[in-house]
Amino acid sequence: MTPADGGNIALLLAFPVTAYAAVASLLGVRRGIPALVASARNGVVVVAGLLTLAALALFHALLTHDFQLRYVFEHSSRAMPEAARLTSFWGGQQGSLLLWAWGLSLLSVALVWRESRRQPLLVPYIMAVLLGIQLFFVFILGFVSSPFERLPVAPADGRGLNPLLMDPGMRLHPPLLLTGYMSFSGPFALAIAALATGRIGREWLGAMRSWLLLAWTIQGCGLLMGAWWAYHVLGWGGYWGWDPVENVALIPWLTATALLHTILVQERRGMLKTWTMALAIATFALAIFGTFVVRSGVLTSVHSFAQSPIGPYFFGFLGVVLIGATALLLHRLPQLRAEGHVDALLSRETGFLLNNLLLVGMAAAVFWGTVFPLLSEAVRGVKVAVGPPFYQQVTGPLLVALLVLMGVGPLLAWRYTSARNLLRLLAGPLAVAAAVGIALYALDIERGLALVAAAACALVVGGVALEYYRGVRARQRAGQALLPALATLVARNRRRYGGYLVHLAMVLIAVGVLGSGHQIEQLITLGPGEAARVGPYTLVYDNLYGFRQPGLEGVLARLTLEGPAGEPLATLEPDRRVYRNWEQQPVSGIAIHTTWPWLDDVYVVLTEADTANRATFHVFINPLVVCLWAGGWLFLLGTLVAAWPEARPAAVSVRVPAPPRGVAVSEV
Amino acid sequence: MPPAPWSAACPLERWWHGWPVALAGWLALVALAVLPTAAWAQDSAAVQREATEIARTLKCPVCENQSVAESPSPLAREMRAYIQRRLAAGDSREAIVQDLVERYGEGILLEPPRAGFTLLVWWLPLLSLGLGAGVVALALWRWKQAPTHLVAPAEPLDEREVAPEDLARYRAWLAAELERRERGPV
Repeated sequence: MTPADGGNIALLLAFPVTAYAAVASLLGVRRGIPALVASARNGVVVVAGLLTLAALALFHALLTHDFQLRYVFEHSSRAMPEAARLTSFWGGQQGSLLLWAWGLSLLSVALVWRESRRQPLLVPYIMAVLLGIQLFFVFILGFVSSPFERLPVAPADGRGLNPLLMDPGMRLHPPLLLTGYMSFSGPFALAIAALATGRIGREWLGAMRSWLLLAWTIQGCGLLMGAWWAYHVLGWGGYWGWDPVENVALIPWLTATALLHTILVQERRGMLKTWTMALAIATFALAIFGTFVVRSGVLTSVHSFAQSPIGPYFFGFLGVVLIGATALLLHRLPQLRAEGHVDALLSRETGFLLNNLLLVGMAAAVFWGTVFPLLSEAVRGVKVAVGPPFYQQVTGPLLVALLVLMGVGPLLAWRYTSARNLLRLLAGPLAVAAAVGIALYALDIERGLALVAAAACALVVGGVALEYYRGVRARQRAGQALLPALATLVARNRRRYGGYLVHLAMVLIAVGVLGSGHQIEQLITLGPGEAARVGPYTLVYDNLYGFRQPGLEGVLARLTLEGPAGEPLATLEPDRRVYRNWEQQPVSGIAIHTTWPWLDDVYVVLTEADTANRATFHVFINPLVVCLWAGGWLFLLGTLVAAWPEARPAAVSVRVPAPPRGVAVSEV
Repeated sequence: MPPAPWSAACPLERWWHGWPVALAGWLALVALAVLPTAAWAQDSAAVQREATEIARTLKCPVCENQSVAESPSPLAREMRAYIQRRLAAGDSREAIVQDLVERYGEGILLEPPRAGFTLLVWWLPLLSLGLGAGVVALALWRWKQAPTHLVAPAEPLDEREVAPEDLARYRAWLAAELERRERGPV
């Protein structure tokens, strides 16, 4: 028996164990048999163990070139270095789904372990939901589309992985997105458990928030990583192409962002409970949709859906999830009435409602644009394309409105803000925004919507700076020095000030997007020793050099980048390489240099070279794109600050204590 | 007139008083630094720029989700050259695009035409946004109508319905909170 056989057996065994544990947890809690619930809990651990074995077996098969496995044959080859062969794990459908299921099994263990202490009464239901999802994936992996499918004869070598996927960025981006999709199961399980039991208390809100924050952060990092990969590998000078695969990953992230904000409203004011549940359900359904789209190519044509063996199962599962969850939600509707009310239109509650309207509106527009080509093909038989121009025109205004809201919203107080007070607070940020807007207009840099967006960015920065300033000043009044005041301020209100950091990260990303709108693009052909001017920079072409690495060979061009005054800034070495087995698909190695202090990316792609060593370069000057990546790091920092467990119990920030008789159910 | 938030006197605060100005100045400096790039953008050849602009709105017929401007495929290269030739010959953007659509089909338009069936793709997001705005407005209006005091739960709850561990935890928390309040503000 080979390790692959062991992995296959583990995968097949996972199905009955999952089914048993799912039934046991439900039966145990409904009939009141604690032993059954305990056995289901063990089942969760066993499933995690079995799937870990299966995953390790697939890694082993990839590392040892077990080409008898169809998956290994199709997605790896002897020429690939070891690290790249590990990437092959998620290079195809079966491996990706295995990664999903494996991740879910580990998440289930963590979630059940953590919530057993916080809200034991919900745990059997949480387990049942997670195991129900797991059951679907284990079924697909075991019986429909198995990574351990064998070929009748073991080939001598495999086909290898698409060269575009060989980049190190690819080692992180797909698993991050798959893990992100998968982690939305956590909030979904919590929502269903709460609906099933009717227990929607403070503990539940805390758990919801932390598991959602986890999934949201992973998905956000996955999206940014995807942008980074596209920018550094694909060679078209951009980072986001509104490709269906990118869109379906963005949509659940948008609805999850809306959800993160409604949880705040529910926590503070006991409102929007139904909406919170609906968002949690929709986010999970969209994550399943995304997983499926990524791994089936369904969006290229309606016909590929019919050909994909997993298609009907996925849509069946999606239907069960949506119908079941909606029925449960409707059943619980009477208990989800709001406790609080909106007292004034000018209040933070209104801000959050608008935030949800914009985020969900954007998600709906992107979803609609993504599925529209399918609809057109099905209805009229005509394939249409919905591309970047559509998305830019539709989401652009919504994004700008969100930025403005991000600037004003945090300055609104809960329940009621007087217009006078708001204006007083807004005066500083508005002055900054006006200064930036007027400067950009006078210098003729931005016009129209982009100008508004830039001013809105300044408004957010001003607002966040004001919030930090007010907090620090209050502490300084109490006698603290500047830095300790800042540290305690953030440490005591991690969620709030971490959230502001995330807002700043979004501004940085917006600045990157605005900057990249000023892209300069030029095609230049140079002989050795010649130079060309692109924008304010000069590129001096030295010569071509050949190079060889295991599994690939290529040529690189050496260029010197000179600044506006002719000062040498960097040596750029864009290359063109051919991977063995993929000779018809040469790949560009892109040279990118970020100039200081202008923050322009000089982005050089070697497109062609002839025998006389004359080379053609596709050169882009991308202003401020580096802000995107800086924004990514700040996003991560902000979410870490916001998610870091509070050292003191949450009792300090509690609103009016509820009467004791309403312990678990009063917030229902 | 309420006092300005920075009215208290302390040297550091007086310095802080000027922060919006300082921030605005700094941002203006950054904008100035970006200026050279923007100015240079005006210089590149107008025809090539317009050709790229047109190519960006067309999908490369033989690729997955790549525009004619981005695709390295021979067909896309040919199409780019064609667009440049026609532009140089003085043809209008609309005429060029129309000829290409006739040759390769409506599916190459990355921006769906605002007519006929594809009008749907433009109108639905707007409609749903309008609908959403209506729902939000309605919710706000209804919430404003409702009395502002907190409503009690509809039915009084029996303590037996509450999980014993929840109750114990809650009582412990209540005791701790009361004790904390007695000790006075932190």
